[in-house]
Amino acid sequence: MRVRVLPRETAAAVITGAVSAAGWAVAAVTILLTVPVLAETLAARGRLADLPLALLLLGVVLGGIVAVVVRPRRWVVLVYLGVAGAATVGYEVLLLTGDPGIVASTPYLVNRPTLALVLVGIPATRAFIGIGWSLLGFSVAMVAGVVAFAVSGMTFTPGFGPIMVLAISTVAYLTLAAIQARIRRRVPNFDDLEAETRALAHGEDLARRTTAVVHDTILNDLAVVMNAPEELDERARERLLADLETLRGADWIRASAASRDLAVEDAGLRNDLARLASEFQWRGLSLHMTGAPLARHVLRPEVSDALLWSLRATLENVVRHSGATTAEVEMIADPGNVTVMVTDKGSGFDPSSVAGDRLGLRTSVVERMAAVGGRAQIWSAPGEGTSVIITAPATESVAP
Amino acid sequence: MRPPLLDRRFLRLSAQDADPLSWFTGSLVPLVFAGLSLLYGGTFAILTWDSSRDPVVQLVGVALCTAACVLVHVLTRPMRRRLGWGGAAVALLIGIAGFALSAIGYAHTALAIELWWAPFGLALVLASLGPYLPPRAIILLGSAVTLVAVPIAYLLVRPEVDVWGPVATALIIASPLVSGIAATAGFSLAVVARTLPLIERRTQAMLTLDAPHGERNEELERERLARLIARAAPFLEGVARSGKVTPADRTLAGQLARRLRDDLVTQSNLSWLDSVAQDRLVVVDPDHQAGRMRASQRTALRALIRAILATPGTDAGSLLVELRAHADGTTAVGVSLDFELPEGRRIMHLAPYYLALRGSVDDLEWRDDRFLRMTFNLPPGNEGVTSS
Repeated sequence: MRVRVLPRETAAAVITGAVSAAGWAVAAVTILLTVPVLAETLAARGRLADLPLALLLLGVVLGGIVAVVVRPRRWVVLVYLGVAGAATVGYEVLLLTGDPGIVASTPYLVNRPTLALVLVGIPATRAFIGIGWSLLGFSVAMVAGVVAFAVSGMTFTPGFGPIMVLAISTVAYLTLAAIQARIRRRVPNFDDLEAETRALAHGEDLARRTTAVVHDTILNDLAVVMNAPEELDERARERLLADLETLRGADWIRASAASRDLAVEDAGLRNDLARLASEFQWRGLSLHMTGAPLARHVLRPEVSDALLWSLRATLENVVRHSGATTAEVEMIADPGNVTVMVTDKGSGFDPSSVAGDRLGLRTSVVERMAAVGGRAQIWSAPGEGTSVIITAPATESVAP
Repeated sequence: MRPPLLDRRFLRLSAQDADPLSWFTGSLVPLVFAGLSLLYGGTFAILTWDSSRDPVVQLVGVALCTAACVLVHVLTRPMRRRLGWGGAAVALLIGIAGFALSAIGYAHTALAIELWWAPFGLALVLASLGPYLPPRAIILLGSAVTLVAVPIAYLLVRPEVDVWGPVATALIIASPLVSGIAATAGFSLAVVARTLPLIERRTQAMLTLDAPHGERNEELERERLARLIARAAPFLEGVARSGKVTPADRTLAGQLARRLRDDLVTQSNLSWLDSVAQDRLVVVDPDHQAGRMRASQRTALRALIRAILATPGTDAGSLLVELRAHADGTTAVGVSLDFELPEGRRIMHLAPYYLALRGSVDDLEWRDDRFLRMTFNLPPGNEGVTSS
């Protein structure tokens, strides 16, 4: 999961665009609220006959607003400004013709559609674009007013409404632009920080792998030397050299093992498990391996490595600490996982009493499996033996 | 793809809920609206001074509407709790009081109601709540305000209005309020409806490690491994080649094993938090819980810690991060610091980091007395981060 933060440019574009949406809402409400005022005023002036045409022209403006809401494209807004501007001229001419008194005290009723011209623009991604559309709408509104008053033979009075709407929308855009500018200065680039986190996690993952591998190879080998007789037998010498080769090759230090493609019939893990069983049996641990392979499972190379190394570390633990000479290894598979359960009837231990400075199963098994998306659980009690369940995620399971 | 139009979350969340980082300096919005209210209301009150029955009442009304916007500013300062219905209602009640005072002042006065400042001033109070309230709350509170305020104003002002009929008078008074509701709810809805899908798509995306970072890490790890086994590997090779083990070899093997084990234990007990600030940060994590934090949580906490440590006045070494596992599977995380910056500056400096962290963890609490203290929880299902 990523941090719940939008890039600042995206957030700024969303918020600036939302001012346009607010403008559409106010434009629609203005037209709708004009209808009863218009009807009452025309009725009071004995001009109800003009009402249908006036409502039709307001309907054209409202329809234009709906069209912009449904398809907020530049060409739609330009068509809207043209059509709604013409409808506004018609509406104003209709009200003014033969009734100059309708604007005697205020042009409020006459200039209502002009507000909708100022308020409707495209969802701007930048404040100056939004202000530009408001100015364009205001210009269309003024031209419509001038034309309508001229046709009616009157002196143009724009009224307070369009100017007020232009001022408010400009202040809204500028305020939000100022807020976004301040935020851009204060908010760090979380994309970079997330990439850094990912790189650090990868570094820690590699360090965990190194710790586990060094623990399972060189540290064990040093223990072998500490307790070895004067002559090392051939298998012990081969094991020391093989472990050194493992460390010097360091193939397991890689960002991704994706380059290691598995052939369809790859049986690498199966062969490795067989070798591992043979090695521990040679060291005096009898393994009873059971399990029904109900399907062929494909594991990612790093998961396969982790499973193998975890199993090795678990068996090493049995050999070195349990005192048992036999262990049960049971393989269980379901469509999403391969699970290996190792059980011994040795001395056991109290997992809660393991000191924090002990590595053992924690780094070699639990953390190793967790690093590849698997898990490991350990059950043990003094005198009751130990069970370790290692679960590795499979990428694919194919029925035999 | 366009977001679904009827997602109920769009009505329940505010713009601030959807993207808190965009609004931590957003309390400027109420301040700007307070300025507009003061400018327009003050100008109108002065221009109508002689015609008003009680002009001073107009100034008090303007002051109340302005104060309501300022209250919203105070209530929405960074680190404060989310603005609730109660705080919003108090601000609106103050606005209604200013509106009603203005109506009383203009009673029995010939008034151009289409230019009257009070409906506009009350609408600005409502608009100042826009980024902080969900559309549902804006519509409900705005409707309630309109239903209370408009009849009061109508009864007081209507007798002197002769230009408009009764319906027109009521609608002209209501018009700024209804437009305010539409604008504010429309704004909030548009922000939430566009932001949520963007953030959800983004948070579900998995970041992959870029190749240069990966190769550099591998190179560093190879160097670390070479240092780690620099003494043990030649020794073991010599023993393996010769096939002989002397008492001196056994002694040396024991020494090398102890040293190697110490190095491995030290490495194993280091968490990602230790690498954030080296010796400037004290990490108490006895249960190794830091590894359970997700990439987003690590990023947010690391950014916050770095911001704290980069702040002048920070007492190096006093920053403590403590993680405790609970029996229910959750992990409590506490961050504390002896911090001496002035409160306002400190809050503004840390707000973006705090808000980013708040979006990534549960139950984040900020206590800001002499010490900065912050706690949050990691839920039981938190599964850490893998680099693969």
